[in-house]
Amino acid sequence: MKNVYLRSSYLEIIKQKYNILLHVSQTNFDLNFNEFEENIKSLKKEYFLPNERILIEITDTQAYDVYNKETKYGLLTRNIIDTFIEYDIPLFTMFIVTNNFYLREEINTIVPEQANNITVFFTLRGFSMYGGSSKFLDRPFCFDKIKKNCLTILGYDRLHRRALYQVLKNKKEKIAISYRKVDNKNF
Amino acid sequence: MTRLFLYPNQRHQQTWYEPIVADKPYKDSLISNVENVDFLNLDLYTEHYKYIGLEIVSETVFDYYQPFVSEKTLRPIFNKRFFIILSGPGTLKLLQNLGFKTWNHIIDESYDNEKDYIKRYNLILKEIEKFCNKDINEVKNLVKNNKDMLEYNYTLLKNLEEKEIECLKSIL
Repeated sequence: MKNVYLRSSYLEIIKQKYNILLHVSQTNFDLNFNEFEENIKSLKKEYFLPNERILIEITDTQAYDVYNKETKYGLLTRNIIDTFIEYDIPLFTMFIVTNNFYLREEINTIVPEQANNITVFFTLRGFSMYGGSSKFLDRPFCFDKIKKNCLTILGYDRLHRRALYQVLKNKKEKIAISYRKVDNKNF
Repeated sequence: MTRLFLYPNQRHQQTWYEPIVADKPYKDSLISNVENVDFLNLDLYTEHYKYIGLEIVSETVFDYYQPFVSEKTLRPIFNKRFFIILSGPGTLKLLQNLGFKTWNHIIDESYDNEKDYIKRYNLILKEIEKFCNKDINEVKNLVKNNKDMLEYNYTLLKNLEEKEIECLKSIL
Protein backbone atom coordinates (compact mmCIF):
# COMPACT_ATOMS: atom_id res chain seq x y z
CA MET A 1 0.00 0.00 0.00
CA LYS A 2 1.72 3.17 -1.10
CA ASN A 3 0.18 6.59 -0.75
CA VAL A 4 -3.29 5.61 0.29
CA TYR A 5 -5.34 8.29 1.96
CA LEU A 6 -8.28 6.67 3.69
CA ARG A 7 -8.17 7.60 7.34
CA SER A 8 -7.70 4.86 9.88
CA SER A 9 -11.06 5.53 11.57
CA TYR A 10 -12.76 4.53 8.30
CA LEU A 11 -10.33 1.81 7.29
CA GLU A 12 -10.56 -0.04 10.59
CA ILE A 13 -14.33 -0.36 10.23
CA ILE A 14 -13.96 -1.81 6.76
CA LYS A 15 -11.25 -4.18 7.98
CA GLN A 16 -13.49 -5.44 10.78
CA LYS A 17 -15.83 -6.81 8.15
CA TYR A 18 -13.60 -7.57 5.19
CA ASN A 19 -10.24 -9.04 4.39
CA ILE A 20 -8.58 -6.41 2.21
CA LEU A 21 -6.55 -8.12 -0.52
CA LEU A 22 -5.34 -4.89 -2.06
CA HIS A 23 -5.67 -1.23 -1.09
CA VAL A 24 -4.82 1.31 -3.78
CA SER A 25 -5.47 4.94 -4.56
CA GLN A 26 -6.33 6.29 -7.99
CA THR A 27 -3.51 8.79 -7.55
CA ASN A 28 -1.04 5.86 -7.55
CA PHE A 29 -2.05 4.46 -10.89
CA ASP A 30 -3.98 6.90 -13.04
CA LEU A 31 -0.75 7.91 -14.71
CA ASN A 32 0.55 4.33 -14.74
CA PHE A 33 -2.38 2.04 -15.22
CA ASN A 34 -0.16 -0.97 -16.01
CA GLU A 35 0.86 -1.09 -12.37
CA PHE A 36 -2.77 -1.38 -11.28
CA GLU A 37 -3.40 -4.00 -13.94
CA GLU A 38 -0.42 -6.06 -12.74
CA ASN A 39 -1.69 -5.86 -9.17
CA ILE A 40 -5.15 -7.04 -10.18
CA LYS A 41 -3.70 -9.79 -12.35
CA SER A 42 -1.59 -11.08 -9.44
CA LEU A 43 -4.73 -11.49 -7.33
CA LYS A 44 -6.34 -13.90 -9.75
CA LYS A 45 -7.27 -17.21 -8.16
CA GLU A 46 -9.75 -20.04 -8.38
CA TYR A 47 -12.36 -18.49 -6.16
CA PHE A 48 -12.78 -15.54 -3.80
CA LEU A 49 -14.23 -15.69 -0.34
CA PRO A 50 -17.32 -13.57 0.34
CA ASN A 51 -15.39 -11.36 2.76
CA GLU A 52 -12.50 -10.56 0.42
CA ARG A 53 -12.31 -7.08 -0.99
CA ILE A 54 -10.10 -4.91 -3.18
CA LEU A 55 -10.22 -1.38 -1.80
CA ILE A 56 -9.89 1.41 -4.37
CA GLU A 57 -9.80 5.10 -3.49
CA ILE A 58 -11.05 7.42 -6.24
CA THR A 59 -10.31 10.95 -5.10
CA ASP A 60 -9.32 12.87 -8.17
CA THR A 61 -11.02 14.00 -11.33
CA GLN A 62 -11.00 11.84 -14.39
CA ALA A 63 -11.66 12.17 -18.08
CA TYR A 64 -15.04 11.76 -19.74
CA ASP A 65 -15.63 10.85 -23.35
CA VAL A 66 -15.61 14.19 -25.11
CA TYR A 67 -16.73 12.64 -28.39
CA ASN A 68 -19.84 11.05 -27.05
CA LYS A 69 -21.68 13.38 -24.71
CA GLU A 70 -24.14 10.65 -23.84
CA THR A 71 -21.43 8.51 -22.25
CA LYS A 72 -21.58 9.73 -18.68
CA TYR A 73 -18.84 7.81 -16.97
CA GLY A 74 -15.19 8.38 -16.27
CA LEU A 75 -12.73 6.56 -18.45
CA LEU A 76 -10.71 5.51 -15.43
CA THR A 77 -13.79 3.96 -13.82
CA ARG A 78 -14.47 2.12 -17.03
CA ASN A 79 -10.88 0.92 -17.24
CA ILE A 80 -10.93 -0.34 -13.66
CA ILE A 81 -14.11 -2.32 -14.24
CA ASP A 82 -12.82 -3.63 -17.57
CA THR A 83 -9.65 -4.84 -15.86
CA PHE A 84 -11.63 -6.76 -13.25
CA ILE A 85 -13.74 -8.35 -15.96
CA GLU A 86 -10.75 -9.12 -18.17
CA TYR A 87 -8.91 -10.98 -15.40
CA ASP A 88 -12.10 -12.62 -14.19
CA ILE A 89 -12.01 -11.03 -10.76
CA PRO A 90 -15.58 -11.01 -9.41
CA LEU A 91 -17.01 -7.50 -9.13
CA PHE A 92 -18.31 -8.13 -5.62
CA THR A 93 -14.69 -7.81 -4.47
CA MET A 94 -14.57 -4.19 -5.61
CA PHE A 95 -14.97 -1.67 -2.78
CA ILE A 96 -14.68 1.93 -3.93
CA VAL A 97 -14.28 4.86 -1.55
CA THR A 98 -14.75 8.14 -3.35
CA ASN A 99 -15.57 11.83 -3.16
CA ASN A 100 -17.37 11.54 -6.52
CA PHE A 101 -21.00 11.72 -5.49
CA TYR A 102 -22.19 10.36 -8.83
CA LEU A 103 -19.88 7.37 -9.14
CA ARG A 104 -22.68 4.94 -8.32
CA GLU A 105 -24.67 6.25 -11.31
CA GLU A 106 -21.63 5.88 -13.52
CA ILE A 107 -21.16 2.26 -12.48
CA ASN A 108 -24.86 1.64 -13.12
CA THR A 109 -24.26 2.82 -16.69
CA ILE A 110 -21.15 0.71 -17.26
CA VAL A 111 -22.30 -2.61 -15.77
CA PRO A 112 -26.05 -2.26 -15.14
CA GLU A 113 -26.57 -5.96 -14.36
CA GLN A 114 -23.74 -6.19 -11.84
CA ALA A 115 -23.65 -2.67 -10.45
CA ASN A 116 -25.15 -3.69 -7.13
CA ASN A 117 -22.30 -6.14 -6.55
CA ILE A 118 -19.84 -3.25 -6.30
CA THR A 119 -19.70 -1.37 -3.01
CA VAL A 120 -19.38 2.41 -3.33
CA PHE A 121 -18.91 4.62 -0.30
CA PHE A 122 -19.06 8.41 -0.65
CA THR A 123 -17.03 10.53 1.76
CA LEU A 124 -15.78 14.10 2.08
CA ARG A 125 -13.98 13.68 5.39
CA GLY A 126 -12.55 10.23 4.90
CA PHE A 127 -9.36 11.13 3.10
CA SER A 128 -6.37 12.44 4.98
CA MET A 129 -5.29 14.47 1.94
CA TYR A 130 -8.56 16.37 2.25
CA GLY A 131 -7.75 17.89 5.60
CA GLY A 132 -8.65 14.79 7.50
CA SER A 133 -6.03 15.53 10.10
CA SER A 134 -7.42 18.96 10.94
CA LYS A 135 -8.46 19.33 14.51
CA PHE A 136 -11.88 20.78 15.11
CA LEU A 137 -10.99 22.98 18.03
CA ASP A 138 -13.44 25.63 19.12
CA ARG A 139 -11.85 28.48 17.28
CA PRO A 140 -13.08 31.96 18.15
CA PHE A 141 -15.30 33.55 15.54
CA CYS A 142 -13.43 36.53 14.19
CA PHE A 143 -14.50 39.31 11.86
CA ASP A 144 -12.92 42.52 13.14
CA LYS A 145 -9.50 41.71 11.64
CA ILE A 146 -10.79 41.50 8.07
CA LYS A 147 -8.50 43.52 5.80
CA LYS A 148 -9.37 42.26 2.33
CA ASN A 149 -12.63 41.29 0.71
CA CYS A 150 -11.46 38.02 -0.80
CA LEU A 151 -8.83 35.32 -0.83
CA THR A 152 -8.10 32.90 -3.62
CA ILE A 153 -5.72 29.96 -3.44
CA LEU A 154 -4.85 28.94 -6.96
CA GLY A 155 -2.49 26.03 -6.34
CA TYR A 156 -1.25 24.14 -9.38
CA ASP A 157 -1.44 25.58 -12.84
CA ARG A 158 -4.74 24.87 -14.54
CA LEU A 159 -6.36 26.66 -17.44
CA HIS A 160 -9.28 28.07 -15.44
CA ARG A 161 -6.94 29.22 -12.66
CA ARG A 162 -4.69 31.01 -15.09
CA ALA A 163 -7.71 32.73 -16.63
CA LEU A 164 -8.90 33.69 -13.15
CA TYR A 165 -5.47 34.99 -12.20
CA GLN A 166 -5.35 37.24 -15.26
CA VAL A 167 -8.46 39.00 -13.98
CA LEU A 168 -7.75 38.97 -10.25
CA LYS A 169 -4.14 40.17 -10.42
CA ASN A 170 -5.45 43.66 -11.06
CA LYS A 171 -7.48 43.60 -7.85
CA LYS A 172 -4.76 42.77 -5.35
CA GLU A 173 -5.78 45.58 -3.05
CA LYS A 174 -9.08 43.73 -2.57
CA ILE A 175 -8.09 40.09 -3.12
CA ALA A 176 -5.24 38.13 -1.54
CA ILE A 177 -3.90 35.66 -4.08
CA SER A 178 -1.85 32.55 -3.39
CA TYR A 179 -0.36 30.34 -6.07
CA ARG A 180 1.83 27.28 -6.15
CA LYS A 181 5.54 27.91 -6.35
CA VAL A 182 7.09 27.41 -9.74
CA ASP A 183 9.55 24.55 -9.60
CA ASN A 184 10.37 24.40 -13.28
CA LYS A 185 13.98 25.45 -13.78
CA ASN A 186 13.17 26.83 -17.22
CA PHE A 187 11.61 29.89 -15.62
CA MET B 1 -7.66 -4.60 -24.31
CA THR B 2 -7.59 -0.93 -25.26
CA ARG B 3 -7.73 1.48 -22.37
CA LEU B 4 -8.67 5.08 -22.86
CA PHE B 5 -6.94 7.86 -20.98
CA LEU B 6 -7.12 11.59 -20.89
CA TYR B 7 -5.76 13.77 -18.14
CA PRO B 8 -8.18 16.62 -17.53
CA ASN B 9 -6.40 17.89 -14.45
CA GLN B 10 -2.94 17.58 -15.99
CA ARG B 11 -1.26 16.33 -12.84
CA HIS B 12 1.73 15.49 -15.01
CA GLN B 13 2.26 19.21 -15.71
CA GLN B 14 2.10 20.74 -12.31
CA THR B 15 3.77 24.10 -12.78
CA TRP B 16 2.72 27.54 -13.83
CA TYR B 17 4.05 28.51 -17.22
CA GLU B 18 5.04 31.97 -16.16
CA PRO B 19 6.85 32.97 -12.98
CA ILE B 20 4.10 34.64 -11.03
CA VAL B 21 5.20 33.70 -7.53
CA ALA B 22 7.62 35.63 -5.42
CA ASP B 23 10.30 33.24 -4.25
CA LYS B 24 10.72 34.64 -0.77
CA PRO B 25 9.69 32.22 1.95
CA TYR B 26 6.64 32.94 3.99
CA LYS B 27 7.57 34.51 7.33
CA ASP B 28 4.55 35.90 9.11
CA SER B 29 0.82 35.82 8.93
CA LEU B 30 0.27 39.22 7.38
CA ILE B 31 -2.29 38.96 4.67
CA SER B 32 -0.08 40.99 2.35
CA ASN B 33 2.28 38.01 2.25
CA VAL B 34 -0.37 35.43 1.50
CA GLU B 35 0.87 34.94 -2.03
CA ASN B 36 4.01 33.23 -0.75
CA VAL B 37 2.20 30.56 1.21
CA ASP B 38 2.20 27.03 -0.02
CA PHE B 39 -1.32 26.14 1.03
CA LEU B 40 -1.07 22.62 -0.24
CA ASN B 41 1.26 21.80 2.60
CA LEU B 42 -0.95 23.39 5.23
CA ASP B 43 -3.82 22.02 7.19
CA LEU B 44 -7.39 23.10 6.50
CA TYR B 45 -7.13 25.81 9.11
CA THR B 46 -4.87 28.75 8.51
CA GLU B 47 -4.57 32.11 10.17
CA HIS B 48 -5.09 33.88 6.84
CA TYR B 49 -8.81 33.46 6.88
CA LYS B 50 -9.02 35.91 9.76
CA TYR B 51 -8.20 38.66 7.33
CA ILE B 52 -10.69 37.97 4.55
CA GLY B 53 -14.45 37.77 4.08
CA LEU B 54 -14.89 35.41 1.17
CA GLU B 55 -12.84 32.75 -0.55
CA ILE B 56 -12.90 32.32 -4.31
CA VAL B 57 -12.46 28.56 -4.43
CA SER B 58 -10.77 27.31 -7.57
CA GLU B 59 -11.48 23.60 -7.65
CA THR B 60 -9.38 21.06 -9.52
CA VAL B 61 -11.68 21.24 -12.53
CA PHE B 62 -14.00 23.85 -13.98
CA ASP B 63 -14.99 22.67 -17.47
CA TYR B 64 -16.44 19.49 -16.03
CA TYR B 65 -19.88 18.08 -16.55
CA GLN B 66 -20.60 17.21 -12.93
CA PRO B 67 -19.97 18.68 -9.46
CA PHE B 68 -16.58 18.19 -7.88
CA VAL B 69 -15.73 18.81 -4.23
CA SER B 70 -12.31 18.49 -2.63
CA GLU B 71 -10.51 19.95 0.39
CA LYS B 72 -10.47 23.32 -1.42
CA THR B 73 -14.21 23.66 -0.96
CA LEU B 74 -14.07 22.46 2.63
CA ARG B 75 -11.47 25.08 3.56
CA PRO B 76 -13.72 28.18 3.74
CA ILE B 77 -16.37 26.14 5.57
CA PHE B 78 -13.77 25.03 8.07
CA ASN B 79 -12.62 28.63 8.48
CA LYS B 80 -16.13 30.10 8.75
CA ARG B 81 -16.06 32.24 5.64
CA PHE B 82 -18.25 32.78 2.55
CA PHE B 83 -17.30 31.17 -0.73
CA ILE B 84 -17.73 31.35 -4.48
CA ILE B 85 -16.78 28.09 -6.20
CA LEU B 86 -15.25 27.56 -9.61
CA SER B 87 -16.10 23.93 -10.20
CA GLY B 88 -18.48 21.82 -12.24
CA PRO B 89 -22.14 22.90 -12.41
CA GLY B 90 -24.26 21.77 -9.48
CA THR B 91 -21.47 21.88 -6.90
CA LEU B 92 -23.39 24.29 -4.64
CA LYS B 93 -26.48 22.15 -5.02
CA LEU B 94 -24.49 19.10 -3.96
CA LEU B 95 -23.30 20.96 -0.86
CA GLN B 96 -26.88 22.02 -0.11
CA ASN B 97 -28.02 18.42 -0.46
CA LEU B 98 -25.38 17.46 2.08
CA GLY B 99 -26.91 20.04 4.43
CA PHE B 100 -24.56 22.98 4.02
CA LYS B 101 -25.85 26.55 3.79
CA THR B 102 -24.73 28.63 0.82
CA TRP B 103 -24.84 32.38 0.29
CA ASN B 104 -27.57 33.19 -2.19
CA HIS B 105 -28.65 36.20 -0.16
CA ILE B 106 -25.19 37.72 -0.55
CA ILE B 107 -23.97 36.33 -3.87
CA ASP B 108 -26.12 35.49 -6.87
CA GLU B 109 -25.55 31.75 -7.02
CA SER B 110 -27.31 31.21 -10.32
CA TYR B 111 -23.87 30.50 -11.80
CA ASP B 112 -24.11 27.06 -10.25
CA ASN B 113 -26.94 26.14 -12.63
CA GLU B 114 -25.11 27.28 -15.76
CA LYS B 115 -23.74 24.31 -17.67
CA ASP B 116 -21.87 26.35 -20.28
CA TYR B 117 -18.54 26.91 -18.58
CA ILE B 118 -17.77 30.19 -20.35
CA LYS B 119 -21.10 31.67 -19.27
CA ARG B 120 -20.57 30.23 -15.78
CA TYR B 121 -17.12 31.81 -15.62
CA ASN B 122 -18.51 35.21 -16.61
CA LEU B 123 -21.31 34.98 -14.04
CA ILE B 124 -18.72 34.17 -11.37
CA LEU B 125 -16.50 37.09 -12.37
CA LYS B 126 -19.51 39.39 -12.12
CA GLU B 127 -20.17 38.23 -8.56
CA ILE B 128 -16.50 38.58 -7.60
CA GLU B 129 -16.55 42.12 -8.98
CA LYS B 130 -19.67 42.92 -6.97
CA PHE B 131 -18.19 41.55 -3.76
CA CYS B 132 -14.91 43.38 -4.32
CA ASN B 133 -16.79 46.65 -4.67
CA LYS B 134 -18.09 46.34 -1.14
CA ASP B 135 -16.55 48.52 1.51
CA ILE B 136 -14.43 46.55 4.00
CA ASN B 137 -16.75 47.52 6.86
CA GLU B 138 -19.67 46.14 4.89
CA VAL B 139 -17.76 42.86 4.46
CA LYS B 140 -17.08 42.75 8.21
CA ASN B 141 -20.77 43.31 8.91
CA LEU B 142 -21.80 40.60 6.46
CA VAL B 143 -19.55 38.11 8.20
CA LYS B 144 -20.75 39.25 11.61
CA ASN B 145 -24.43 39.13 10.62
CA ASN B 146 -24.10 35.65 9.13
CA LYS B 147 -22.23 34.20 12.07
CA ASP B 148 -24.96 31.67 12.80
CA MET B 149 -24.88 30.23 9.31
CA LEU B 150 -21.09 30.15 9.22
CA GLU B 151 -21.02 28.37 12.58
CA TYR B 152 -23.74 25.99 11.39
CA ASN B 153 -21.65 24.94 8.37
CA TYR B 154 -18.59 24.52 10.57
CA THR B 155 -20.48 22.30 13.01
CA LEU B 156 -21.92 20.24 10.16
CA LEU B 157 -18.44 19.67 8.79
CA LYS B 158 -17.18 18.87 12.27
CA ASN B 159 -19.85 16.19 12.70
CA LEU B 160 -19.56 14.88 9.17
CA GLU B 161 -17.01 12.21 10.03
CA GLU B 162 -19.32 10.72 12.64
CA LYS B 163 -22.22 10.68 10.17
CA GLU B 164 -20.12 9.16 7.44
CA ILE B 165 -18.86 6.40 9.71
CA GLU B 166 -22.46 5.56 10.65
CA CYS B 167 -23.28 5.45 6.96
CA LEU B 168 -20.26 3.24 6.30
CA LYS B 169 -21.37 0.82 9.00
CA SER B 170 -24.84 0.69 7.50
CA ILE B 171 -23.62 -0.38 4.06
CA LEU B 172 -21.27 -3.09 5.31
